[in-house]
Formats: sequence, structure tokens, C-alpha cells
Amino acid sequence: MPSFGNNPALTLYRNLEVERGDDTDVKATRGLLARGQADKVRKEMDVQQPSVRVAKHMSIIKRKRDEITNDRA
Amino acid sequence: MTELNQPLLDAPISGQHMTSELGGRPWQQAPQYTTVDEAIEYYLDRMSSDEFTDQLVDVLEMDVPVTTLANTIQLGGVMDGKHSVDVGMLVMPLLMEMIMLVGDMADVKYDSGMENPNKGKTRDTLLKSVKMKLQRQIDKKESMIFDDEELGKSISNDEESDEIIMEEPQENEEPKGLMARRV
Repeated sequence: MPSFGNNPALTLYRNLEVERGDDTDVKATRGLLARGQADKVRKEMDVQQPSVRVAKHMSIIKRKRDEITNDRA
Repeated sequence: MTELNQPLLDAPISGQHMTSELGGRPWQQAPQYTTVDEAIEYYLDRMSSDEFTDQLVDVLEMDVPVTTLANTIQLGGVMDGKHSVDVGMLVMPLLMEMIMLVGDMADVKYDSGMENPNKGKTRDTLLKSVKMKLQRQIDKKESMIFDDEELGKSISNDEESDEIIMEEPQENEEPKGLMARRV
């Protein structure tokens, strides 16, 4: 008989969905003399925060999931 | 919000923490992966193996919620000394997403654990509040009926007492007149 405990997974998932925000792709600039924008974009996205990093990983997997479900539909 | 409908799959026995030396367990040592990135890499490697995926699909088919599975997996990581509880908490949503991805890829109908289990059911609190309101109304009506009865009784009592009052002076009235006897 299973006992009942407290599972924080749902709350954490919902919090990270808020953290994830808009899904934006970082596009590399082309050309040898083009200035790199990766650092600037990273700063704007606040990627140094661990939760934001996880949220970005999540958004990639979520996109993949959406692709699979849309292909089936 | 906390979720109470989660089965605790592996609860420790009371006093189990006193059965070994301090530092003798993996979770009492420094964690192997200290950052979120390292932990994610560890889990992605582990979860992408065929053996793990097959087992995961079997468990999902048994209607075990994804939230429970993710919590159990990260708790296992903490117990094995792979990462700290904090890193586990941070990684858990990603584990959920990964589990759901595996479920979608295998075309399994899984329980995400995110739906409200009480959806469509009448709330207990609503039932109790309605019951209380009805009880109050019944009490109020009963008290009104009681008051009316009391009022009716008191009116009839007043009339009787008036009669008595009217009668009393007659009894005590002293005879008057020249020929009357004095008591």
C-alpha cells in the first residue's frame, strides 16, 4: 500500500515554465569580420542562473516533444 | 502548491540513519556532480540508454505519474551521492520533460501528474458550507416558531394574570356600608 508524501515536482515544473518565457534561438552572425553577439545575448538571457539554464534545456526538449505530437496529429 | 496524492515509493525505516557511521553513506559525502550542467549531462546519458528507456516505458504504461517518477529518479541520484538535493530540485523539471519525451516517442498514454485529481468532483468545503447555511436557516426558522409559541403563551398568561388581578381586589375588598361586619 503506497503511503502519501509531498512531491515538489509539479510546483517546480510550473515555476520553470514561467522562467522559460519566450523561446528564442541564438543565431550565429556570418562573416569573418562580424562581431560575435553570443556573449551579449547570453547576458540578456541571464543564462548564468542555473534555473534559466535548465529552462533553456527544457524548451529544447519541449520543442522536440511538440514536433513529435504534431507529426502524429 | 503542494501535491498530496503522490505515493512514497521508498520510505526509510525508523532509526535506519543510526545503522552506519557518519559519512559512511554516499549522500553524506561530497556530491559527484556539483553543477546543474554536470547533473543534466549525467541524466541525459543515463536516460538515453535503451535499457533505461524500455524500463521507463513499462513503468509509464503502469500509470505511474511522471512527477512521481522524476522525483524518485532525482532522489536516487541524491542517495547515490551523484548530486546534492538542491541540484536535484533544479534538475527535476528537466527529468519530467525527458520522461514525457520518452513517453511521446514510444506513443504511450502516460499520466503527467499535473492534472488535478479532484477535477469534476464536488469540493468537500463547498458541501460543508452549504450544510452550515442550511443548518443556520433551519435554526433560525425553529427559533422563530419557538418565539411565536412563547409569544402566544405569554399573551394567554397575561390575560389569565389580568383576570387574577381583577379577581384579587374583589377578594380583599372590605365590606362597606353602615350594617357591614368587620372581620
